[in-house]
Amino acid sequence: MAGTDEKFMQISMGPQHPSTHGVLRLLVTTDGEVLSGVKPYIGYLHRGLEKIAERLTYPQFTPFTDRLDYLAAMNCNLAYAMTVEKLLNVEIPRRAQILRVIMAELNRISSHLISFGSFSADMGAFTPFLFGIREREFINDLFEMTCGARLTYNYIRIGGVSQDIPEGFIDKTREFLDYFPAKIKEYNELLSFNAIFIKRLANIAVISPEDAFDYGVTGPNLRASGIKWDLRRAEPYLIYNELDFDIPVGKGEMGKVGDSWDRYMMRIYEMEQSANIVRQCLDMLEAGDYTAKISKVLKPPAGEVYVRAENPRGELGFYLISDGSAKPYRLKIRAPSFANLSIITKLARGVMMADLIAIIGSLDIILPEIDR
Amino acid sequence: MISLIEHMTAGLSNAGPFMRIVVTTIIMLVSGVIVLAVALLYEGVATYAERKVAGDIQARIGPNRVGPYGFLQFIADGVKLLLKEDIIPFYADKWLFIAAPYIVFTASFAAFVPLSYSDHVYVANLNVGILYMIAISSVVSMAVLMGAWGSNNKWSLFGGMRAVAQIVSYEIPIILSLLAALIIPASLTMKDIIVYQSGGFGIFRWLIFNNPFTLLAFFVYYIAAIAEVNRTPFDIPEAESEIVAGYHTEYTGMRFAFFFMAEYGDMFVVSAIAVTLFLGGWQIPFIGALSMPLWLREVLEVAVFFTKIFLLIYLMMWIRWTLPRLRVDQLMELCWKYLTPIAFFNLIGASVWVLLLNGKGVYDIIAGLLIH
Amino acid sequence: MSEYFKKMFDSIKSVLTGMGITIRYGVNPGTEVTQQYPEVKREPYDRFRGKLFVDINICTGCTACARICPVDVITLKTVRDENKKLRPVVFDIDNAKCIYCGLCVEACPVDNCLYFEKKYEFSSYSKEGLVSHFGLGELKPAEKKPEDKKEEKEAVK
Repeated sequence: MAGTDEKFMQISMGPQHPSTHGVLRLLVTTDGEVLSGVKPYIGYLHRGLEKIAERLTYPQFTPFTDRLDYLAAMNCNLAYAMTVEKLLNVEIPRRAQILRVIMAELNRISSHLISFGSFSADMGAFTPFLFGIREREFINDLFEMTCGARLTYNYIRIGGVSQDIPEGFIDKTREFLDYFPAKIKEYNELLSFNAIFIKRLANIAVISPEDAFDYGVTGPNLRASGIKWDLRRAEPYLIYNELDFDIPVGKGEMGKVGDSWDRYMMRIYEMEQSANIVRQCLDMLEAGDYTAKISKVLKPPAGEVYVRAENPRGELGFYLISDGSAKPYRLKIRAPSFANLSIITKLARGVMMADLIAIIGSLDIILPEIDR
Repeated sequence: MISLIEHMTAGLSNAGPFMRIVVTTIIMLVSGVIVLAVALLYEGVATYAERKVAGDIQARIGPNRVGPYGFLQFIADGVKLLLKEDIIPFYADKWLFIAAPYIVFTASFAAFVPLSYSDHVYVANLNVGILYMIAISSVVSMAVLMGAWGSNNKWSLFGGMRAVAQIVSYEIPIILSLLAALIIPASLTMKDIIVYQSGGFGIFRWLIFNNPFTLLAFFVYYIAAIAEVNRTPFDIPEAESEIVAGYHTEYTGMRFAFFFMAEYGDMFVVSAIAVTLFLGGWQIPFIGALSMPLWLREVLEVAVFFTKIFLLIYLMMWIRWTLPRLRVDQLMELCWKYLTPIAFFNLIGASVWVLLLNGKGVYDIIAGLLIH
Repeated sequence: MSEYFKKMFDSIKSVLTGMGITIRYGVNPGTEVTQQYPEVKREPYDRFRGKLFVDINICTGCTACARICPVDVITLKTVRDENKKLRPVVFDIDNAKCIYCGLCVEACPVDNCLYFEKKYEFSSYSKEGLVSHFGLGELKPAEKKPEDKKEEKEAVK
């Protein structure tokens, strides 16, 4: 970086900045409005979750996974539960599996709603943000009904889910699913196809498929580059192979494939698909146990596993080593946002200040997951 | 105020020179204070209205704690800002930093002076009215840069540079589009322009309906005016998500309030120019006002004038809460590639119209045809 | 040239579409989804995880909750009373540290002993104010049991 050159100005963007989505610090080298380099500094939210895991028992760590990607806590719970289950080698009842998919997909919608909303707020339109929040409240209500919490659910547990869905959940979910498509249409009219919005995002920060591979970009950001890779299809877990859904990929509708607009639009398309999945799952729901019978004190056999799942932000992986005791020997978390953020140094070169905000927003990073 | 000043100063012609100076000064001070009070009251109401409009649009309630419907919220806000600690950054250029908000506010307030609120209610009937207003509102750009530079903050500097570039650029389409209307009444005096628009049921002789070119000029002016007062989608100088708060990042308490009030004052001023020039000023539509008693007519005229202004301000708020923000270069592109050429050709068209038809508007022509 | 005007026209059209949506909300007073909080209070659902509450009289002092808690929120001290029953003399829950995960509620072997109230308004001016004390207080200076793991396990079963 040309940091010491007197022609350039260095600005610290963050850790307190309205649109770095938390406590990310970017050291920005600029020549007026045009950036010549960006260097992310992370760790302001480091809590040592991986180390904490080593002194807690397996079930005790579940609530901590809520605090990884707090906007998609269900998905994090799910990935962790699947990791331990693989180590334990237990069979999950079918009802529990369907419930897990319902919750994970609902949470995917709610996470994408926040992503959509905060992105629009970054772009200067504040109203879509509140519209996104409004629909998310509906999902939060559903979760509160089910597990009592609105953000950190701790619902998907090792062996199944913590409790069965309450009465009225299915009706209320159907109500939401009926009401939601009209809202997506509204979002599109209000924001997605707005000329200013398109102008701000089309052809900005294009991620080529090769770059996406090199930097380990996953999730909607990878699919926006035109690569049809979704773990729900590529390595189906739970009951995803029985479900009928599309994987949207970036087509470069407004510019080049893999530009910011494509990345943004992936999330809108995925919300539609997730709603579709939830609807199918509700039809498939049958009576049964909501959790497998597992002992209270978990002592998995010694060994190591790596399990990954498709989170709203990409692949969340847990690498777990067990030494046969009640506590993990080592837990490594592969956070999708961390890899997604790493590409920012490449993208934000020669772009303008306002584009940097668009890049951060379109990558949809979340800091607790990066810093862990 | 009213045309009192003229009457009284005229009556003073046989008083001594000393008396004349004293009385004139007193009258000017009193009328100045009245206008200041009106301006401050308007600014308070406007901030309340902005928040309420935002609330309505975003499916929220908006302020509703202080007073009925939260109407007195602006007083609470004002008291809060007054009581806040006044921070002057240690490394700030103190004189620039302290002076900037006052200059901004003074410039914005000074533009209230030549406005003609009704037939007889005005402070000063300047013969260079429009010219004066354009000139005085340009002072804002200098003061903003002073504050931005004086803050000794890189974000402020960014905001200041953007503000100056934007305000200076957008002055050109503003003046060009105003000229297209000004050549018809051929006067710069606010009152003369409004009087010219009388007749035609108080609506059809508005300059906006005079010919197709003035209609277009109105829209060009309005878009450019939104940019001139730094509101979304052109609010890049204070783009919250990009450069924190732009030029007023370091300002606190009452100094910040001055910037804030100046912004709302500017909104009023640009709307007032639009109303005066294009929308018939205080002409009361559809009512034969001449037969009314003078006081009632004056009250109605003031009410009509303010209603028209508030409608335009509502439109600004509505736009603000709908659209995302443009990028710096796109903002300039809009100005130089779209608004300026359009305004320029529009001016030529309007001139040709005036030359060929001797300044007759569409209504005059139709009315002339009907009579014959 | 025609593209110039087409672009302009498209932009204006999309802007007007967006403004059409916002004005629908702007002029329609029935679209508010928010509530005025202190006046209108939202009733939480039955499973809502609010403030923890302990019915201390039926607590067996088994310490299962304190052991499962991942963040060590529960401070529990037990003594044996005259009937050789474990009684919790100190049962403090630090609501500031609590992460409301619900593991303790599930671990509690006694029905309706430890549960979440539907209460979410318990802000306080001090850190100490956030600690809820449920303990019975010192019954009498009985012989203090050291942390005997075997005994505790019996209590769980």
